[in-house]
Amino acid sequence: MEQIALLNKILTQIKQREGKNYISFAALLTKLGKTGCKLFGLAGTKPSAAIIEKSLSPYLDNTFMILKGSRTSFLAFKLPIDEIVFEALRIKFQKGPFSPGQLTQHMPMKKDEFIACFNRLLETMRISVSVNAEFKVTVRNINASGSTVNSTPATIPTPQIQISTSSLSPQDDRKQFREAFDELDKGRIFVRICNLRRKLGWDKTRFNSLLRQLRAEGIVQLHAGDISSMSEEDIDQSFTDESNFFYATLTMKPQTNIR
Amino acid sequence: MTSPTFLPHILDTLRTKNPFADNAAANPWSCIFPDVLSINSKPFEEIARLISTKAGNPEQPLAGLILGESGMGKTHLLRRILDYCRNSDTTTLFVFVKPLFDPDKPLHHLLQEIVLNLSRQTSSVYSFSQFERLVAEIMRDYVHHRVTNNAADNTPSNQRFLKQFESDVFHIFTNQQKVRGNSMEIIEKEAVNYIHSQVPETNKNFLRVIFQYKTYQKRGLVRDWIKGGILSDDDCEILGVKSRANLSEKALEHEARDMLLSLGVLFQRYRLTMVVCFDQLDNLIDSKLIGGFASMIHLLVNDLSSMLPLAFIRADSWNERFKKNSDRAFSDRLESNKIPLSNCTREQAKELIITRFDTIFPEKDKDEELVKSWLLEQFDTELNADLSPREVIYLANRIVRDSDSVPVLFPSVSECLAVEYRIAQETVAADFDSWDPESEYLKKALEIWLQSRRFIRDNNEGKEKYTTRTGYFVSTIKDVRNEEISEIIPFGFFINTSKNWSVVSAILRRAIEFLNENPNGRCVYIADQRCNFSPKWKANELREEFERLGGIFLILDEATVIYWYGLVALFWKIGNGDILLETEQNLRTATENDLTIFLSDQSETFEFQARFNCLFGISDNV
Repeated sequence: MEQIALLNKILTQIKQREGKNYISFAALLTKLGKTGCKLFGLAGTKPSAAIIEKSLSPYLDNTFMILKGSRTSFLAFKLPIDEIVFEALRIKFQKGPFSPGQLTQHMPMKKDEFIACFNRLLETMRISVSVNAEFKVTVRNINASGSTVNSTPATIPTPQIQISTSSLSPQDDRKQFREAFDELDKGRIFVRICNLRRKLGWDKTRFNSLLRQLRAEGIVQLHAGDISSMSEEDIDQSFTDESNFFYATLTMKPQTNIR
Repeated sequence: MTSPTFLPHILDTLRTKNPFADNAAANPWSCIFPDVLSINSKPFEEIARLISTKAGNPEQPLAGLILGESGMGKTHLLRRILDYCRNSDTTTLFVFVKPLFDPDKPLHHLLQEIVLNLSRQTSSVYSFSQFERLVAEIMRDYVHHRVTNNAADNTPSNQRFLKQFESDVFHIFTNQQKVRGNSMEIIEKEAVNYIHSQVPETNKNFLRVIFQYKTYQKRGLVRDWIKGGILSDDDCEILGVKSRANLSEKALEHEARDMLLSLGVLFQRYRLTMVVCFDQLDNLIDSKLIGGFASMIHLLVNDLSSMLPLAFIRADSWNERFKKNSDRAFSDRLESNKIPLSNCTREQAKELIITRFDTIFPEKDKDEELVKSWLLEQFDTELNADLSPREVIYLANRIVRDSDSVPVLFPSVSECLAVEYRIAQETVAADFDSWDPESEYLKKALEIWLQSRRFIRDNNEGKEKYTTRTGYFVSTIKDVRNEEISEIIPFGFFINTSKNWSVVSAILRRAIEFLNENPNGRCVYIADQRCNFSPKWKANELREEFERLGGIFLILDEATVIYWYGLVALFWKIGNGDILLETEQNLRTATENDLTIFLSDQSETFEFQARFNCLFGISDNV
């Protein structure tokens, strides 16, 4: 059915982009747009959560389910609730340790359900936490190997980092780096690292090691950038140095022969 | 890193008075630590060259774009420009413009900020403000005209007076007793007519009012009027001007333009240059605000030939946001003088550390020198590339902090932001005069707070609009805390920053209308205490009616206003990427979301109950 395919497409996109297996009703309406809403009989004024739920219910099938959070309702892939929580924690953990409380209001369930899931994941040692002097909990580790996440109903392609098996010499790498920078620069002066990384399409080690080298030689300077205007993927494709400073942009000494 | 075992008392002092703990300068007027001149020296030289070119040729349309990421020393560079202006024989005036909030009133905002800065002291030598400088220039001009063109006035004593006046523009203020009898009054009166005849573009009311700035008691009124404020009828009478109570929003914006043009031509006539610096521009998040900023730049470059705009922007924001959301003429104009900032070299980084260290230990005894050497040695080991000044300070902070054997407990995000909020409030309190009653700031504080309370504004209704020049109707608010209830409650916030009773009456009338139209609604009248409600006003009857219908009448005292404006200052700092959050694993800049979470955590504290929840009268139970 057209409706099921549409819901599947939207949730799959969310999963690919944000790693989440669910979407809030408000975001769903935006994604559906006027045409999509009409398909579900949702045209007209802003529908309430109850009306949206009623309109979606014929299409839930075995693929989707509706979850109620503390602030709004969500459409989700039909997965065990613990797995949904585990995935959300895993995605959040990619940016470092965090307090689970930060997630409470964004989860597709009420606070007490979230706490119950969290405790089950603790008991099964799929996550570990530490407690500070004020008894505040911080998630310290996610045991990915212990994950029993069912595969999502839709086939989700994992973004592949292009692995370059180039046999080019370090000098050629430097030349390519400069050329790619110049192409992106065009008067910007500050070029985003994620764009440069994508343009070169090298593997992470090759790109990062040359970046470190050029930086140590003073040819390249790294800068914080504005993460508020970057996507998760852009942030992932940026750079964090050994002092844990995060960098999003770089500048190069003008007309420097970096060979 | 090995913890030093020597000289524990000095290390203790260093940790207690840690000069590396704070790594963001608040604003150019209040930088605590000495500037390291070698950092960003080239960009500064380019800026100085721009200023000098503008001073030499005011007609040349010029603007500058200073690009640097957060922590690269933008605010310190601003401070250096301020010092440069102060040391320029007071002929170059410095203006620092706070971020724009209302895209419909860009010129009003620009005028306000310029006036605010003009009322500051001109230089470290003179105690006069830049306004007084302007008045003195006009009077000197007129005296010169009288002595050189009127035979009766060309007496030896008048010539002596003119000579002294020409060598020192403030002579007329420092030697007022030498001006006989009513001469000063006559000079003032005739000077206005003379200048207006010479420069017809000047607004005559503006000239008359600006002369009154010399009278200490009238300064506040003059400042309020010139920056476009709506004064009470009594105050208008004191200044001899018509009330603005009946002017529309558009008319006020037009008048602001007139005032700016008057200032521009006077600056040009007296060969004064105004450097107008825009900082914290990252807070202009939508295209309308960027459009408002662009219209300020267009006016400054095209119509105000004596003024040089300098925009300090994070490079990434400029490339990704400003250029994409603005017209080509605007971006080309700014990019014609694009000045990028750089990270510190190793030597500059060390100089920065030494400078800060020396502020704590100015005596430099033997033991202190030993600790300094230890610190630099540690730093040298950790440093492996050119870093921004903020990163240098952060690294030094980490060395100092880790020198203690006590394990470091990283504060939570909320704890960090609580400290930053306190600092923001202190910054506002320390420079309270520059935080005039401003509806845009109060509205912003209100919005930030509402967001943290998990209400959402129901913008789709299309009801958000101004009710008067100074009051806002902040649409309806949907309580989204409980999906089951999901009730939409009409909520009206009417913010007054006017001292005029008729404006206050208009706001109250609209608020009463709102309560009558929305019997289930809630309504709050909010005013800064500086725009207090006079018991003599006719508006008192309206206030009684408003309160009878259930409206909340809220006058914010100074402590509460500082709390509100502090929230805005904190919001700007976050928007500008100036707050770093450190955890055991990483270091990142604070985000708006962090602020929302922090405020949610704070919402039940006594302080918050006292400062904000009174808006609802009954806290959370809307």
